[in-house]
Amino acid sequence: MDFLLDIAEPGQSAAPHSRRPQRVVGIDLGTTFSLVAAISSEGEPLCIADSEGKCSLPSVVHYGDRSTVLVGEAAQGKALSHPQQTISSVKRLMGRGLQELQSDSQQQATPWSLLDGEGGMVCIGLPERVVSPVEVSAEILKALKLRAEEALGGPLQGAVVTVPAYFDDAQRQATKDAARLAGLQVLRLVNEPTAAALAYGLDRFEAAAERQGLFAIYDLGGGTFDISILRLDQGVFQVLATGGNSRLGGDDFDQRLSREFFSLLGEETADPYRLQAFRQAARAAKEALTEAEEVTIALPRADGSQVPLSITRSRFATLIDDLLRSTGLVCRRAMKDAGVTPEQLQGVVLVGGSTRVPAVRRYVAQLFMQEPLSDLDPDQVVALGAAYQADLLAGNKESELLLLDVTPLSLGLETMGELVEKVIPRNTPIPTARAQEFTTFKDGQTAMAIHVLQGERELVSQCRSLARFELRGIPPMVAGAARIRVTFRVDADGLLTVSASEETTGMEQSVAVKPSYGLSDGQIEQMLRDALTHGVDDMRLRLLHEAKVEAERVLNALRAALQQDGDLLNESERQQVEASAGRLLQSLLSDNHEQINQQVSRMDKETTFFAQRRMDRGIKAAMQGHHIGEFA
Amino acid sequence: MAVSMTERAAEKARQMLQKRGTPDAAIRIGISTAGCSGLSYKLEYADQPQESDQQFESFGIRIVVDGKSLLVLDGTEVDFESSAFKSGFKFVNPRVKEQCGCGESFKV
Repeated sequence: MDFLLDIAEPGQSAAPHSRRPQRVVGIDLGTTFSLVAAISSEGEPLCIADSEGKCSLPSVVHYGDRSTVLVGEAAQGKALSHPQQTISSVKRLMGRGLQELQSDSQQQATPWSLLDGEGGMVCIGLPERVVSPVEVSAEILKALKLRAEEALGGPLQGAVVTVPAYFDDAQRQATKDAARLAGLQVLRLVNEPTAAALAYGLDRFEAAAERQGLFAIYDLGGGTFDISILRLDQGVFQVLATGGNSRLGGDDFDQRLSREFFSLLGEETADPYRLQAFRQAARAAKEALTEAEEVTIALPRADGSQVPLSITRSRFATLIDDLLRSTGLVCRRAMKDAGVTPEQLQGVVLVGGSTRVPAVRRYVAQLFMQEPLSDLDPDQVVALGAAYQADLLAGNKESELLLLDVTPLSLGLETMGELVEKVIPRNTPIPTARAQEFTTFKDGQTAMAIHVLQGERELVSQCRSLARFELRGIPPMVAGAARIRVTFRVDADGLLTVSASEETTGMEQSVAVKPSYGLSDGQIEQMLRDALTHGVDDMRLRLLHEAKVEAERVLNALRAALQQDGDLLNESERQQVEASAGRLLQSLLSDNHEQINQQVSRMDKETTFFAQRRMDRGIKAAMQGHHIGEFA
Repeated sequence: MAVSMTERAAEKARQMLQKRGTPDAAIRIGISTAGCSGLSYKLEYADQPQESDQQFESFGIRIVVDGKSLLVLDGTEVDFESSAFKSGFKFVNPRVKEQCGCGESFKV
């Protein structure tokens, strides 16, 4: 390999192997296509093409006989002849569990079988072997790495890999694992829409005073949709809100067109070769309709003869109209989350090949009330931004740019009564660390279960469990005296670590949250939607649970008091106190928090005299053996 | 004993000298004893040639080499390479017997 030098200032030749710049790349690991980009000799991000000049590598991996592995177009070519050995859209399986996938109605049938793998993760059963989604993704990354090393002339020092904004901890971790398996050092995982904003240089945006602005990134790819609302402040980016739908993209457009073709011909088929042929024709028609108002496509009939069919751009627009409107719904919600109106946006960026469709552009312009930015190739934008970010992280360029992402869902803890206490709310910029203090519920409690949850709802059963661990060795104290500090830390890659410590003793336990499997985007969607629609119900439930917890606490205290100082009461007084407790117990059976709270305060009143006597006894005990004069 | 530059390399060097504001300065090539395979190349601007230096010229660019380095660099031609993602000067040295994997250092 040839080593290339620059001319240095006299006496300043760098020591060998310490020369910069570092060879780093940005990788867009996509559902249908993947790309790799780097900073070119001209100093601008540029996608690295293969030997045939193509930048996009189909995210398809073929496991052939005699352990041969093909990636990209070569693998795609085997999809029809060897469907059981050819894996596509593996990104949808990253960091997910088998049960979760099976319960996901949107999950399409695959020609290969899905198996239960290590740690609850799904695995793919091939005729001769079993592979994990992480291994399959690693093959794609290896192919991109090889391509980049050839173009850059040496081994890579690092890579920025992009992930959808909606990826949860497990999915991000799986992506990182795949990169490591491919021999790549991950400098950082960056959200795809955020990378796109960088590619457009929105960080260097000069039109607004003091480099401030609000932007929307509308990313409609082959199989996924993402929206991000970003704020630029003093040249610093912050992601205000994200949203998306992992089951929506250009493939759906193709499917709509393909279905239209079948209905125009008045037939149906299950023949995979014809389905494939129609899909390809649909895709070609879709692409042609970007330029033309009407196209005619030749389609194969069942008998093998060809039949020409025409389709207009406006008919195509009608076919996908509901799909576009569903993206609008997600966009409005993201804007609402961010507290932003369309008028406040300084720019809207189009990302993803599907945004080439004129109907999409028109819809986006209408939705955000402005013409979207579309100068860069929408397929390459994410990889270009990732390359730019990689260059910054490698220290090849001096910049003050700091990239902030947000947590997609709230993170919290289980508290008494199966309630969720949110520690880090949704859309908090990361990296972040927040601590909250908790205390013991019972006298002499020496351990505390820490249950980490993700979601927007109030009850544990309605959120997703991420991890559980126990803090042990709390010194026995009366209820409420111990101080347990629980700290949530989310790093720059969006990965969570939770630690708990008891303040008086310094006892500490921590856990890196590596969930056994991820939440599907559908589930996240559902959780967010539920949080909105069930807001009132949740609040009522929360109040009820809180009332019950309080009732149990006072009942516990009363029981302890009766045991210790029961002799202070005569028989009728004792009966009175127990009746009072009985009424409170009875009220617990109702689902009415007001009734419970009433009984709690009633019991409080009815037992005041008992508390008074206990206090007197306590004071007497303290004064025992002392002369009254000592206290004067 | 001599060293030289290709026309491409001389043209690039001329551009860089001009950009630096010293169009008449020379380019020093030399070796230093470091790196994973023994020796490595040096390429620097030379405002003041030293007494022990030997001077050469290729396509209008003055090249200076110190006497010790010349023993190793004799016959070396400096070329310039440029592609989409990498560009820089390359030493084509007929005396090199082996080099390290990255090509940054070598043995004679």
